[in-house]
Amino acid sequence: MNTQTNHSQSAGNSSSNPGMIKIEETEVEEKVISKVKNTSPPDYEALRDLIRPHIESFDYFVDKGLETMLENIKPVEVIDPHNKNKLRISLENHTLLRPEQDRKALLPNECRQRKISYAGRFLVEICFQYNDTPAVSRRPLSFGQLPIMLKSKLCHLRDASPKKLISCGEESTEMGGYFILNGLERLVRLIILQKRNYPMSVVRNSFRERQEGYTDKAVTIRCVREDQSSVTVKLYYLQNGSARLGFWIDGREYLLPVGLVLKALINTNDKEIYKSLTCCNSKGNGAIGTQLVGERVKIILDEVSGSSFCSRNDCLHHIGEHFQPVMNGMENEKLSNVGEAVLRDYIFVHLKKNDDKFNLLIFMMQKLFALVDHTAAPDNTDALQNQEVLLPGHLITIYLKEKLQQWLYKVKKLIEDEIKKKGDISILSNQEYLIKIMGKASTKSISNAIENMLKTGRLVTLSGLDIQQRAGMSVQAERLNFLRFLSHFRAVHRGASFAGLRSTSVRKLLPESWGFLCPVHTPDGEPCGLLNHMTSTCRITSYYDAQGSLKIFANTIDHIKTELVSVGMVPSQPKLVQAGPPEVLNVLLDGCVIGSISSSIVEKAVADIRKQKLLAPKVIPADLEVGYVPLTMGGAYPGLYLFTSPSRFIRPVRNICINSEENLNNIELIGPFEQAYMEIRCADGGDGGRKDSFPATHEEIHPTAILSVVASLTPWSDHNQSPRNMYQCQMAKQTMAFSSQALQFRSDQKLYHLQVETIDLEDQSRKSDKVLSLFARSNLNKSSHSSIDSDGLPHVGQIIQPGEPYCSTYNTISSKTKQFWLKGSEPVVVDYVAVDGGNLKKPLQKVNVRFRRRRNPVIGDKFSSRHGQKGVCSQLWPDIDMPFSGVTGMRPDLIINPHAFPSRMTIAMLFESIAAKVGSLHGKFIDATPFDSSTKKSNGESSSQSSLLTDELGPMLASYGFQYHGSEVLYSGVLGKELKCEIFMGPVYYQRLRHMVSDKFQVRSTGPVDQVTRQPIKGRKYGGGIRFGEMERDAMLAHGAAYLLHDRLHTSSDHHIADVCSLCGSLLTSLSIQPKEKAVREIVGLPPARTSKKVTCKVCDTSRGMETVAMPYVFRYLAAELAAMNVKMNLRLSSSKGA
Amino acid sequence: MESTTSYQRFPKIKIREMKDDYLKFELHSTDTSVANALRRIMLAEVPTIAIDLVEIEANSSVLNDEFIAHRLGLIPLTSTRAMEMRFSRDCDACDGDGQCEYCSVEFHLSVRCDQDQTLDVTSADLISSDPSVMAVDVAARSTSSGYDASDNKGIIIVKLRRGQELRLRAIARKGIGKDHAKWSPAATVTFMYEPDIHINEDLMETLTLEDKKNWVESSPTKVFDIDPNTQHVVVVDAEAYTYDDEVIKKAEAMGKPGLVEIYAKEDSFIFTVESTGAVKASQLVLNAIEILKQKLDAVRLSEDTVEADDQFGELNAHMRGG
Amino acid sequence: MDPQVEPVAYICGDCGMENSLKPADVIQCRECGYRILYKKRTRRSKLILHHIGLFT
Repeated sequence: MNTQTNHSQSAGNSSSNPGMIKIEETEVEEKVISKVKNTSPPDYEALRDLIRPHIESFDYFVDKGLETMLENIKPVEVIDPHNKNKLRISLENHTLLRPEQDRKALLPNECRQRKISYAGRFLVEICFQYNDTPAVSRRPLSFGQLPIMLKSKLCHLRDASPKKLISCGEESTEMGGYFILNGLERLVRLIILQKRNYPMSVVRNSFRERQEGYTDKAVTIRCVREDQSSVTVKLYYLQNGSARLGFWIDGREYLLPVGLVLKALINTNDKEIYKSLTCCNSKGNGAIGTQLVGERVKIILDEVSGSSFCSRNDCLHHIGEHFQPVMNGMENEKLSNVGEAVLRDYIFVHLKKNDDKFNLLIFMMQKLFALVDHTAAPDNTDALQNQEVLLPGHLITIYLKEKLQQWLYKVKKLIEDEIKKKGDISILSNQEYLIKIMGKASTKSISNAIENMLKTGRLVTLSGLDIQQRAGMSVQAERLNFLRFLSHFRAVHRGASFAGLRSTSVRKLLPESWGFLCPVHTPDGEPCGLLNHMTSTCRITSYYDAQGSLKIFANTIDHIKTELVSVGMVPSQPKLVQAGPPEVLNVLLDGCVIGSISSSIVEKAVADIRKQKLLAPKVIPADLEVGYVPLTMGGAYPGLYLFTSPSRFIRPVRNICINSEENLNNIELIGPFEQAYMEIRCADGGDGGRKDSFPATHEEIHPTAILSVVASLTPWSDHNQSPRNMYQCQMAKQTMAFSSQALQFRSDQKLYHLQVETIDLEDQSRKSDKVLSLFARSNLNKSSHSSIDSDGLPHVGQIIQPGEPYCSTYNTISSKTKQFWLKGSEPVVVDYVAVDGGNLKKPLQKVNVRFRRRRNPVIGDKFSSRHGQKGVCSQLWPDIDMPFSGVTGMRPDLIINPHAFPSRMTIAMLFESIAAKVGSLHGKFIDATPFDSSTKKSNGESSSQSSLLTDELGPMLASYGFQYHGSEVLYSGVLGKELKCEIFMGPVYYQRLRHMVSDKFQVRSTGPVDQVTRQPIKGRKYGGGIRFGEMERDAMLAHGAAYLLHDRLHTSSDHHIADVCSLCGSLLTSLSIQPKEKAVREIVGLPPARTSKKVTCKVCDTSRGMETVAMPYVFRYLAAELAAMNVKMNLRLSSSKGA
Repeated sequence: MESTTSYQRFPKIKIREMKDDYLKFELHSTDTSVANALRRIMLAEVPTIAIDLVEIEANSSVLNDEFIAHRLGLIPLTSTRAMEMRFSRDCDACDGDGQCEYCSVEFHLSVRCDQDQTLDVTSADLISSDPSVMAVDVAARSTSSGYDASDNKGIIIVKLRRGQELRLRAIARKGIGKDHAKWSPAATVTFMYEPDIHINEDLMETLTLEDKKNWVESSPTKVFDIDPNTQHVVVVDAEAYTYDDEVIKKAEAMGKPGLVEIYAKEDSFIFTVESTGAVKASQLVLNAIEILKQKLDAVRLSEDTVEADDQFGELNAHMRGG
Repeated sequence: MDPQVEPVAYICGDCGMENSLKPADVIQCRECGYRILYKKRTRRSKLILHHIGLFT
């Protein structure tokens, strides 16, 4: 019937329907809009900002990561046992090229269409150095093709204008940030990691199980090297008052007495260590604590001197002795050198100087003792305050480093084997030959490993890379609609290891994530609270400054140090100042104790640094995190912690301590660590219930800063019940929309394109490893109305009905043609046909055929408004049956049951409808931004009088001749009579969700059955049935619907009539005998008797007791299975009276 | 009227306003069932001609074939011939394939963009094989009657860029809105009951002028006013009343229930008909009455004779099924 | 193979040149060497709107 007018419009978009609602919701959207309006060629800077962390991290990999990583790879040394010649092999000078093919630029869109990877050649120079001579000979070696991130520095589309992008077959808004692997778009998932270079006190029961005598308390620090590889060091507290330093090497944890490490790090003495450790709380009420600490330090020192290690060398020697077997390539080193290497490679790797390491260890022990003595609380590992994020470029850097290092070790082993085998002295000097050996270690495997990691998301690693999970590192970037696509880049996952955890504490929404992670945008169900999304204003620090040039950390650290000294810090060069809290606070910069500051001046110093952040961003970086943890009794361990590191979350707030009259930039970037100790007020003009002694120093820019991009698209979300907003975030990502403007150039698996009619595009890619060639129709010519062209492919615009062939291939080996039939129940139209001559030598092997399926809205399709109000279309009414307004003659497109509102409390949906009615009558936009009453108006005045929205809209409705609340009198379309109730009618933005009945319906009367059980098979694809399970059975029983039950479970399932011998009770011994008299009868000419199959029992050897019994076939199968186990099943037959 | 044995009535129509595409009339002396039947027939059963089959030769535009076909279908075509034409399914001249002159009209469209600006393909590019059937806006431009055609660019089908091309052959057929909305000749058909407003003058005079003003203003539409001379509340436009009950509620809120009584006249309707242009609004009403009569004949026939069941079997089944 | 197989027209994905290909031809644009070719629309397709059984 007349389906078109009723429902299609409701699923339509606002641009095609002038009556639909047009509401501007968010700042993000507005920004985009204003950008479009102001600059003549549209620029999508605001969009690119959202995925910048991905691109910047990959740029880091290209610009800096590769170089530092190669520097940090340990060279290998091969010694010829014959002549003791030493060859040192190292890697240097990498080249990573842009994606190319046939010396021409390979564009991303070509990769998508041809289902290949967007990757560039990766070359590294192999350096050969003989016998420590300075002469180095270099040879470039190709390590295959490394995937290149789109829009990164090596991408052809970098800095391309929207016009250029379109000419390359991309979206004009293309933002990059993902990889193309075998034609699929995949991106690296952002994963939460422990904040780098910050010692965190942790209480965890599992520590007790380490070894005998361990407590549940420890201080842990994740130290990150310049090349982003990290080593986590834990300082465990022992029951006897001592401590152990633990770190992991190749999947095993090693524990060292802390005294040994202290003494091995620098030349020191017991007195110095004692003084350093006992300096905290040395005066006043902390004196008892000092005594306790003193006892502990004595134990620690006794542990070392008890084992008679006095000098630093002794300690190093001892460490070296223990670690030599696990230190690769140090078999022949001096033990003290091995000890030094252990300290260098595994203990506090973010620091270079041993003095700094010593100071940090002292600090960590102070913190540990404070934790033990309950003068400081443990840090929360689940709070965003102590977290950062793993970025794609960093992950690739550390993964590539490990792969190259392992490759070098493999090369060493191969060369040594070769020398052993051949006994040839010249091998080491024959570089040509060495390169050949290296080829055996498969250089391509390096880039393949990276590509596979991105393809599958799995890390194949021995060391674990200090990452808690091995799988799920990458996800496919689905382009169902733009919001879904964008959300992939803004999602932050807590880590796959937490997904299986029983405890729910990791999933909690903590106040620390305010403004960084959206409280609304998280899925419900299994990944709830683990998969979060960054807010629209949240950014991540990188190696690049605002101008896009690489940061020089050494300089900024010096600047910060001098700035701190100028505000009163006492530097710790080289030795630590022997004083601690409460008088003096330690100052840590990126996990290095750089000095101490008197607690009386620290607050002023912090304010000063913050000011410098804004005034002189060239000197003090704008994204510097100034984490001042004030002195509290039993709170977090005090100190001044500064961070310049990348991978931190940051967001903008307004610093209101800076005089606005100076007309300066007062937007400060803050991180989650410092935020917990800052006074940030809401922008509503109030003080937020703050005491006068703690005046607000900062102010939110806009209250919607706590929402993600998707969450801020719900109009008036502040008027909805909160879970509804969460549901909407999920559903916005399932909406059919305009997935792509470059639809013509895409070859995705499935894309939806919303038009007044909805069209579902599906790509049928045919690919085969066998040699097959298209153009195979010659054999097919006879099939009269085959719709395939002579190339074996359908023609463009052709309609193919289900069951018709659409493609035909020819196998050149078996010389057989094969046809591909259209499956399903819908007719399709061929949208495009593309052939890919990827390999010129081989015959055609890859073809893309794109089908269009029209999907008009039908009963059972899912729709939703933007307020978590989803539902299934339950009836399509003829237009004439819909109620109509007597005044305007308008008929609604869609009728929603009012019972959808009381329990769900989606007030904003009603607001949206009223506002849209006013807006469309008035011809103007109505602002639906949530929390609008909590913002300052442009005149500086805050709108304290939160006027009711209806009070604003009611008079406007009345002025257009409507009732104050917009309700109207409608007449029944069927009877023409007035409907005696007030009915509200107004435009609401509706989403059509991708779940459609035509993809899901499953019906059968009869069909394929299982071979063994003769029951209907499962699976929609194979024409199977839907399971009628136990609970359904229970319901039937409860209703007493015995016949229906019998029909479902028996007649329509595996109904079977079996012959059973009532004498022996066996089901399996029946034997049917062909009646022999049959032939005789025919001759005699007697009428053919009932050809009753003669059945006998093989065991009883008679047919006397044979009876037929109806039973499920599985029962017979059960009897057979039991018989196979030597269990006989006896049936006792009896007929009830009636039968 | 109630006590008479004959229920025959003699409905009257009074035309208020008539334009080509707009008609406002009163319908008296009948009841809701007839009024609504008329409305339903106008929307869904008055036949028009619309494009129903499209054969696409070339389409390099950004819109796909089905979408263009759908848009073509929605273009209203002048359908004065529609009442006489045959439904292609009943056509015996062309064996039901619906391509003969009795049941179909052929259109051709062939546009190619060879310029730098985007080219609008509009209804004006549709070339008809029958001069009496063409897109309504094109027809209006040629006759330039009533309808402002000065800034009329035609109904846009698709926009073409340089090098893009659209060539097709389309067959228009007779159909009714029930089958698809593209065959509906009416943009809007609505009726309302004529209101019968009685002001309780005595009670009204107990109000102050201020209260009167407030009460008058409580109606969102201008139904009442205050006579500037007598300061009495008068009904200025009874038909502006939308049955919103605002004035009644206001009176109750003022503590004066019964200030006004408003009834809907059960036998008097005010119809508004807006045509898509396929047929003139006045013709649309006449056609609707004609179809209503045919339907009634069919009912009468089916009641009288059993044989009629064969002839109108489908219709009967349809009516029984609702 | 059958000699009177009619060639099929393709359009280059890069330069837009029309190429007509016969069986066993190399899949490559003769003009620019691009290897993705789109099939050209040559035949008419008949769309019966709202016909039961085609698009319901």
